[in-house]
Amino acid sequence: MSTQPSYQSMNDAYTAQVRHKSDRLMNYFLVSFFLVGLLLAIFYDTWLIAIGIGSLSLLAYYSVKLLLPGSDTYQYVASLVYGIFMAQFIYQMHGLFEMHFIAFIGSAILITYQNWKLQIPLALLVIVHHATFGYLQYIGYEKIYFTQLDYMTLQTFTIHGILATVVFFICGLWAWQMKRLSMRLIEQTYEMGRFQQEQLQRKFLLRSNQDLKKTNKELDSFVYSVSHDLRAPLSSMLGIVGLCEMGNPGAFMQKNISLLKSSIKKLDGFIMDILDYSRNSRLDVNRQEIHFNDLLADISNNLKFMGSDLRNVDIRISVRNGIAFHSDQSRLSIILNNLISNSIRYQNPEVTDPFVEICVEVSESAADILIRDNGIGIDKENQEKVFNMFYRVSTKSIGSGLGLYIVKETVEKLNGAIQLESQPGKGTEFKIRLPNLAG
Amino acid sequence: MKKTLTIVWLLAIFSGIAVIFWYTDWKYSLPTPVPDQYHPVATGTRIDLAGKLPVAGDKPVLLHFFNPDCPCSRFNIPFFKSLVRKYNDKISFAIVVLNNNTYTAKEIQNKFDLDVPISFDSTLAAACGVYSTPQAVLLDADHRLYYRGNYNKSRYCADSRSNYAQMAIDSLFGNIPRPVFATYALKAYGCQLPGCTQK
Repeated sequence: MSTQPSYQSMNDAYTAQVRHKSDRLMNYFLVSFFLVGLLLAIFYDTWLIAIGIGSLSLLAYYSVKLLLPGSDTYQYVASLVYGIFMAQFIYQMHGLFEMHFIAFIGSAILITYQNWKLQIPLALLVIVHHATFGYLQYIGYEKIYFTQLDYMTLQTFTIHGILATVVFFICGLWAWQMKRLSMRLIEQTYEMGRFQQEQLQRKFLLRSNQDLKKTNKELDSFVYSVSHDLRAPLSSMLGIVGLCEMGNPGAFMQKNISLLKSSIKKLDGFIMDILDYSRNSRLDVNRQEIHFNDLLADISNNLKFMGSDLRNVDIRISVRNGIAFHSDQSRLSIILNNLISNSIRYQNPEVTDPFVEICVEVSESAADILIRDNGIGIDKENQEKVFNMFYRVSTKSIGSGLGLYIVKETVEKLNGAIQLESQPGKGTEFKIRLPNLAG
Repeated sequence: MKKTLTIVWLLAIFSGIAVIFWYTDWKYSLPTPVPDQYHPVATGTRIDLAGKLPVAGDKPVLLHFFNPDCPCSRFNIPFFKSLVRKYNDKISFAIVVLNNNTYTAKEIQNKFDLDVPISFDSTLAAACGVYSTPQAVLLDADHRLYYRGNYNKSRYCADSRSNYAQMAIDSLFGNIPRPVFATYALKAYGCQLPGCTQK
């Protein structure tokens, strides 16, 4: 993706463009003014003024432009030069009053730079010149006179001055407004560019998100079908192992067959876990009414004979309902199965009465499920990590390392939340809050 | 450093511009310096034009003192022409060229686009008491000095109230009473004559 230029660089580029364009215009105008001076010289043979002042004015402008290339001083010199050209033309045309308009032409030309301040030198030159000479004449200073028009009273002079100032002011105002409009235009162009870029980025993200989803789905169905297919040979292996047991094997063989059986079961459990995980991510939430008592009774019955080498754990169930609770039964079953089986699996050998207590409280909005045991507990350092995929507290841990990860994923799928509190040696407590999906 | 240099350079250029304006314009705002050996010639003095200018003896004469190199003289050409057009039948007009360069009568006539007698006799200036250009010298029918001075208070001849030369003509023909000419009329403004030294 192409990167958008910064606001500052756009602004600088625009300013440079205005300057370049205006400088070119200035070349045309200044040279034209010089040529007009030469033309006017024909009328009254005013060649000295036309060539002398005209070329000195051009020299002033171009030399400053060369001497201070980075600065805009030469533009202010141009402003002064237009004032000087006006004086030159007035002189050349024998005081022709209309030549005063040259100052206004200059003032209008200067708008192109979009800098109102450029009006100042021209206005100052005109005003200071008129004011000084006018005042000298007004007070009756005889050695110099400025205009001999008998109607040039102080009042006329004031009006003259005010009108000239208004012209300069308006030209300055247009320059300022043009500048402001250009700035706004740049801002808008910049915003538009940014918006477009964002749109492009969003599109790109959307597409990659879709791609990712698709890949994920494919992966899920791959995992599911592989797991599913793997379970069939495992079942037949278990069957064959059962047959072997029935054939009265010797003590040595019996031990090996038991080991084989537990390995097959472990592998089957692992595949079951993967299937649970895969189902959770693949299938939509299937909303139905949950009967906690039945569900928990089923689970505790199934788990009673979890491991032959494990002591029986007292499963205490307390359900306070009365309000119908709706959620996904199979997912809830996965959650509870995992947590309760963990409590059984990680019971504390040092306590005499291992138990797991399941309290369910249903309200209009949610079900709060508390699963508390007096097992070995989880130390603080591991508490944050137990929900990670394939994380096992120790290498000796039995299980796939997927159980709590699946629990967390499933709870999240049901828009619920899970919290863990545990003290090593004392027990573990999971608090789950699942929203009531009734209605 | 570069800035200071630029400022000095600009000041030099603008001073140059000011000098040119001074040289061609502003200095003529001041009265023309009176030369060292200037002899004032009083009004009423008879000026002898015999042999110097081919003008009719029985008509008033307007001598236009002119220098082609003088900016003020150049600006005055249209006004002088307007006077000639207006009073050609009543007054004999003549141009006295005060210039050291070689101009021919034809060249001068071409500048004015007029067929008036041209004189290059600089003694006429002294005889009339003229020490500046452009100057108007109006002689009555007896060739006595009636008016010697500026054409106008303004070198632009834009001020109708100070058309002194024209006022002098009008009063000579009795149309208006002879005005009391102010300093701006009689004190010469314009270019110094060539070869003159300042007082």
